[in-house]
Amino acid sequence: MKTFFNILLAFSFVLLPFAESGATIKVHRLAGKVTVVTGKTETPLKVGQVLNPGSTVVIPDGAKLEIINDVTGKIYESTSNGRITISRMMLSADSHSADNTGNVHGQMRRFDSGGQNKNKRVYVETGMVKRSMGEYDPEAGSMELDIPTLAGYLKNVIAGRLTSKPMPVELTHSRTEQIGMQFRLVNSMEFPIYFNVLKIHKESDGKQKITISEVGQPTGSYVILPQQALSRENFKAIPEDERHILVATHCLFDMDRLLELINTEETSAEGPDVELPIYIEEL
Amino acid sequence: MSLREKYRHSKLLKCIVKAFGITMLAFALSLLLVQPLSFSAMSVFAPPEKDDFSISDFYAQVADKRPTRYNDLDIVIVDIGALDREGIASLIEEISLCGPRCVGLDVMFEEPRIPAVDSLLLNAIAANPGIVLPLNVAECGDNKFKISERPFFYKSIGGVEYGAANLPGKFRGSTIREFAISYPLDNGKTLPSFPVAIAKKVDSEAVKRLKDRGNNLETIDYPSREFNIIHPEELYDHADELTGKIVLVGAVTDIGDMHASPVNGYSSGIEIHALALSTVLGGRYYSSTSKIHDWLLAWILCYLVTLLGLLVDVRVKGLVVRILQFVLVYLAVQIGYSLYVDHRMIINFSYTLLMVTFGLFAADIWNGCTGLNDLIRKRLKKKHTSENISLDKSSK
Repeated sequence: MKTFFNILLAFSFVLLPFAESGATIKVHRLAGKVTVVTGKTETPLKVGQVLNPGSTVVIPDGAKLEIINDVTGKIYESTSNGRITISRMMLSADSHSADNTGNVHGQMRRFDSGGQNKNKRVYVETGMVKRSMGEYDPEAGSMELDIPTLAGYLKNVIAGRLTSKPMPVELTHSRTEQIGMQFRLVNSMEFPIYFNVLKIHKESDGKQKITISEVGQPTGSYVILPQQALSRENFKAIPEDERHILVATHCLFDMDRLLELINTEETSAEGPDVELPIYIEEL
Repeated sequence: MSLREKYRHSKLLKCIVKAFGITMLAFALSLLLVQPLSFSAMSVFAPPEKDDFSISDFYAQVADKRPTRYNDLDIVIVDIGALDREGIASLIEEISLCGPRCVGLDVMFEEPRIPAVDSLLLNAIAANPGIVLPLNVAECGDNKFKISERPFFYKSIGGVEYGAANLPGKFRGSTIREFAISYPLDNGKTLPSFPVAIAKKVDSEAVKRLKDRGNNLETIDYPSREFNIIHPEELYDHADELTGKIVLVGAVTDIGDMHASPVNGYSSGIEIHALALSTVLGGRYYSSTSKIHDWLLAWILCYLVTLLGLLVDVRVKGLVVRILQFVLVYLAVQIGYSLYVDHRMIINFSYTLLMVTFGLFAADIWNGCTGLNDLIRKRLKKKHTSENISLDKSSK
């Protein structure tokens, strides 16, 4: 008799507000294939679907259903699996929430139990840093571009004798005299990309000089790992006669040696092997 | 009969005094363990940054796992995702068209960038009168703060309110349990915290009630509360959900703005601000007992257990005392949780757990010392008697 009155009381507290306020119950979150029974058919539930307290849902093992009262914002989570009506699910969630002793016991059990995975470890976190010119570079440490070849190729492209292959990664850039320049490179390849930005300008004696651009990497080169992006900006006005060239390769190259060679007259200006993985684009 | 004689003949009096001594010893041992500047077992075995546990975290975790929760219907979070300054400017402009009640933008624009984009941003901000923006403050001694980070357009746009977005914690990276109400500045003014600045815009009565409590830090009501989070690409489809709501704009998944909370290791700053704001608007404040009261309660309970243990006169006394201890520890956890979840009261029962646990150890030390004292006294008495006998012999 006492249990009956308890159920009646809980029923009046949980369900009467729905009747009075005209609130609707909607599916808030779903995990797994939860279905609603209409007649003799079961149709999969969707987030946002409207249900009524009398609706019967089937929650399979491992699945979870959360419903929300859109007037009060109260969310009810399924506490058991199987066939259950929405009203029963709400009553069950309410009584579980009010069961302080049971909730504390549940947390204590969670502290201790890890189930079968108790001693299992996942190895997803890495305790290391990735630096552009760090010595630790297993991906491309053994590979290095031949700098005289790269210097020769670069000279030809700068002089307009050769056209570089199109950039294989996503490169967006803009440059105006007033606001400076900016670029963004997204590595959509499956291996790292090494690149730097060179500045071609004329010195006071009229000689052409190639140095590292303000948006370039002053020491070494940038390294962008797969799926990573990098953007750089420089807001200083750029003289019209100044050129900025982005040089990208698949493997490491010695930037200092490249600058040294490219600024000398002796560098061969012959066209290198066109299959070389060198990509050049003017910013 | 003198008091001394009374003590000799009364078992109850002996037990009362002994229980007092044992409890004091348990108290001393507990103090030794929890005092940060004393020799502490914790400081030997654990790094200081691990010293970040509060029993209320346990209660919050239990409460958060209940199968009923609330979706806050007044506050909506709009995630900026990976939007750049231009994207954020358009987002704010779109939000203004949705008719929000108030907007809080938890993004710092410290330096001007491209003038055209900055102009868009300033126009978008101006289109949201009463928008609340964040500042960062730093301590400058004497419990005063100075503004350490501000947007480049600080005080140049009318109708913009500012709040300090700092999250108070025990140390960098510690669990964020509380929010500050305001920060006294070095120029004599007071800067409200980011959530309180927003609350001021929407419900000044709620802020008055908050200030009337007289605290400068309040516990955030973390458990069982969530918010609708709308991503930039979803804004068009969910525009009506922003009408009349408090809209908080910020990064939900930015790794640089993730903080530990009692219920989650990775809560974004904007969600923590939203929870603090929800706490203020809902008036869901927690009251805590002072440290002295927590220790007093621990002392009394430990004393009662010790006294009962001494008074129990059965053969399985040891077992009874241990069961009594276990029951008390269990009850402390259960009562603590019930007070937290049903009455929003935080009683730090960790001192009770500590003292009750140390009670037995203290009793063992006490008994050991008493035994040693008896032994020494017996030896001294024996020596004294044998010396007297030899003196008698020599005098004869």
